[in-house]
Amino acid sequence: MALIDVHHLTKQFIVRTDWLGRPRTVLTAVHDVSLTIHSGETVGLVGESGCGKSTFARTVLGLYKKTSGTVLFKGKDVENPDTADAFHRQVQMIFQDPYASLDPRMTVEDIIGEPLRNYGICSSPSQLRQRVAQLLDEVDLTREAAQRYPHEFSGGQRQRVGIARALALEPDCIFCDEPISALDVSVQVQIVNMLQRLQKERNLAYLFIAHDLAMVHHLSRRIGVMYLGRLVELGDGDAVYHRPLHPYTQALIAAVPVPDPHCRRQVCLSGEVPSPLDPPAGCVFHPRCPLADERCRSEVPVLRDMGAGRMAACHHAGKEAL
Amino acid sequence: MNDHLLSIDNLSISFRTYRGILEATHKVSLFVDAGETVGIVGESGCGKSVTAHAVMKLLPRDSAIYSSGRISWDGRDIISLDEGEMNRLRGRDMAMIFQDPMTALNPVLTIGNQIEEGLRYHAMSRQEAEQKALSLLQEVGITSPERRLHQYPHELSGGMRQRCLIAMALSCEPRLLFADEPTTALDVTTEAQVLQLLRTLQQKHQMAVVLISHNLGVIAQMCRRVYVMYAGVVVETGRVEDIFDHPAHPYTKGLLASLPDPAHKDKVLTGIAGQAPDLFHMPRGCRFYPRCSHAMRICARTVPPAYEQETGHTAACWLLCPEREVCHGSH
Amino acid sequence: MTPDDFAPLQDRDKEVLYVPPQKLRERGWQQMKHNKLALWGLGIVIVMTLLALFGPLLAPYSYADQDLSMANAWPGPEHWFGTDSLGRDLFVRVLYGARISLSIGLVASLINVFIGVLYGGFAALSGGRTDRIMMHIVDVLYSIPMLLYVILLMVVFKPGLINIYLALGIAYWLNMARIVRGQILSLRQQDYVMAARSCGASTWQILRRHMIPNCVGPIIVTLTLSIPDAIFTEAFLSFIGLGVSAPMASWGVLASEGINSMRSFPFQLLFPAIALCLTMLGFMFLGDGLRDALDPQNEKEGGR
Repeated sequence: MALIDVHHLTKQFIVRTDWLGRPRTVLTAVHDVSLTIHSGETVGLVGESGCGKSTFARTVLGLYKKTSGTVLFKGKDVENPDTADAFHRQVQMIFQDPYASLDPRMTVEDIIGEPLRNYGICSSPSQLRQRVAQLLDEVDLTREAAQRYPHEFSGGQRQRVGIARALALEPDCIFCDEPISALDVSVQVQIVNMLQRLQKERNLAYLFIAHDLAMVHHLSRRIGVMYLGRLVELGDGDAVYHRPLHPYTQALIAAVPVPDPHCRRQVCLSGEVPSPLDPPAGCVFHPRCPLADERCRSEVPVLRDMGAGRMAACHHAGKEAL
Repeated sequence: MNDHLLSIDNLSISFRTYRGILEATHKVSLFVDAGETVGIVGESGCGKSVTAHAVMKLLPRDSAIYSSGRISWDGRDIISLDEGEMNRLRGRDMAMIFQDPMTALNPVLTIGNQIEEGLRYHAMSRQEAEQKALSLLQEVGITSPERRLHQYPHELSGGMRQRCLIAMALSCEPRLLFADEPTTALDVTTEAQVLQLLRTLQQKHQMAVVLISHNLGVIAQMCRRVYVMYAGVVVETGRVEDIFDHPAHPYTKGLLASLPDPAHKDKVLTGIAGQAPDLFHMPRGCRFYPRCSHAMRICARTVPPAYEQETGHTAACWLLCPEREVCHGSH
Repeated sequence: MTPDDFAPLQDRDKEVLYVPPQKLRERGWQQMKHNKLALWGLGIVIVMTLLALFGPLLAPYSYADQDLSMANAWPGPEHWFGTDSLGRDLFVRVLYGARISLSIGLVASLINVFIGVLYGGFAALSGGRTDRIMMHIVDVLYSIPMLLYVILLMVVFKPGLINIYLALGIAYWLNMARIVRGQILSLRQQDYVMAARSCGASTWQILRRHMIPNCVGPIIVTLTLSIPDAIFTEAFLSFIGLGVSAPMASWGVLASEGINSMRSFPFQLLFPAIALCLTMLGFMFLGDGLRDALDPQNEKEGGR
């Protein structure tokens, strides 16, 4: 059974209201996205900024109120109060900015201990201290760190504190929202390796959100690609990375600068991501797509099964676009 | 030596802070020839931007100190130039584009105003300036430039803003362009567009480009020669192929080992342990030794000199010391 | 060089784990220490407070002692600031005025904080329509000139110390409410509040652990900056005769008495005016310094 099952999730934000408070401009940040996460696997979610990947994660977790769709946790709807409690306990989150995601006025012990306090897990202060020390060991920080404030640490160390906090409740799944994009290259590897180690030790599932395709490919068993709030491709990590079906995925992979001076490429996609306030009709990618034809301009492509567990939302899926 | 367009010798830059004097770069030497693209790569705080800002003399004047070394531009010493001479040099001879195009553009002026301002500075009539601005916008690939001229920075996307910034930098046809993390704030597809643009412009105008980036991919795709910086010093330099094919310094090796290899997905990345030192507490010997897996006793005591591997490829590491082989033989 | 030099390094320094320890508060203090004006401000405020508290106790005269034979005496060793037209010692009266003015500044500001924090906090936390209506009310009140409003209140209340407290407190909370609301709304968007919610914190826990501690800084700054406002308004009210009543003396009363004889005895106006100016400046400088020191933006920049 799937650990987390998201069906047709849509999230809209009201950008502007009239003076009576009625919505006037609505932004669809996530449009009809379905995704399944099995226990112990890593699902990567890639896309450019503003494609709705973070909003998707936050909406699934209930940090934003969803507009429509259902989220099932171990087969049960999370709107059911009993499931909701287990869901919020078992699914934790790591944030992108290790500076902003830790309260500057709390010590590391208070930060890591916060989830434990919320659920009343450690009854005595000494028990709590012990548990925090254990968690610090887990993320390779020294125990003295407990009494310090976040600003005394470097970015990578702060991110470790964030991971320790996410681990405190022994979750089944962690949503990692761009956990490494704010870090230096050499530190990124330390965090990535730590995430992999923890996954092996605890059979954790990850939803790994990033814009660094190479890193997502390195970590994930399955990869989903989002564009303008839609999931345009989903499938096995290697297949998506090496044999992308959707023209956008192809362009995205081709655009990554390869760290090899012998392999200089000059491919690029023309144009820019349109405003999500006014998405194009038909396939949202058609104004930039080299394969676009009349059908793409009028008919919205649905995410369809392409065999071998792969899905793509494109009328021309599988054709070479570049 | 002096036929380089720009050459920097042993440049050390310090800053006065309330915690004391902080040395941001230490004895950095580099040169740029006319028309070539040189990359400076390193992680945050390694002094790569400071070096570029030092050449442009854009460092805050009340706190930055040029503590040693010289910068010569076409044989002229830059450090001793006064502000007036420097202003003539900036823009006409060298220009800079920044990481965040939003902060580098004035939000209350239209794009047209900002481009024309630089042109009119160099004695051009209003009509001429507007014509030139239009053609510049066309050159950097901005669609419907007539409309863009009258728009404000916030009305443009990040990629568009970076293009405008490039247009401004190009307005006086500089011979050297500093690109300080020009694509870091951009998405991958936009990044590819901006890099392509830079490449085209560089070839067309035959200008030299100094590309500062933490992204090894960008460096590999764009540059001819590379300087690798760590904690304020240049640890390795050479042709881009030397650096990527036969890295000599353990730091460079570590950086390259931090990149995932799409062909071997299951390989564990090695990376580099630890983290960059605090600039106030610099190790005495080699600045990298606390994180280096090959560290030797001498590394903790003495700063390694730069050893030449091949022509133009040098690395500052004791592992490359010829006497080490001899010593090992006798051991 | 010897072979020994090239032996592998055995006992290495332990990984440098921290940026040298520096507590949050020390950091704020460091900032303050380098801000000369703020230190002067702090000094003035402390001295004024001490003088206001203990000065009148040590002085040989009381604020109401009249000595008509010494009326309108110029400053001298006997009466440092001279005397007024009824022969009351001006130095003691200025000190006593400091008591009244400072206490008005403080109490009125505390009432501001109380109302402002509750109102702004409630608006921000309830959000939606309630928030919009509450803030529209604030906007409407904002459009009324506050001084007019206070004067009207004072006319209704009758002059007196307690009534001044109330009138100023009731009138000037608008700014505080706006600031608290803005702060809470921006905190709600912070990642660490999101993080707290994602690990199961209730609204009350978020409020207690994250919102309130992070609101304290801006509240203190606004408080410090609103004290001189209150003092000045009180001085103005007393000046036009709506403030404290005789023989009590606030700086405004003293200035208003002094202005009658400005031509012949300028010191009677000068000394209360100087005391008023110094205090205002002191609080302003202190407030500005605190704003710089408590700004979380400063805590962020760590390494370089």
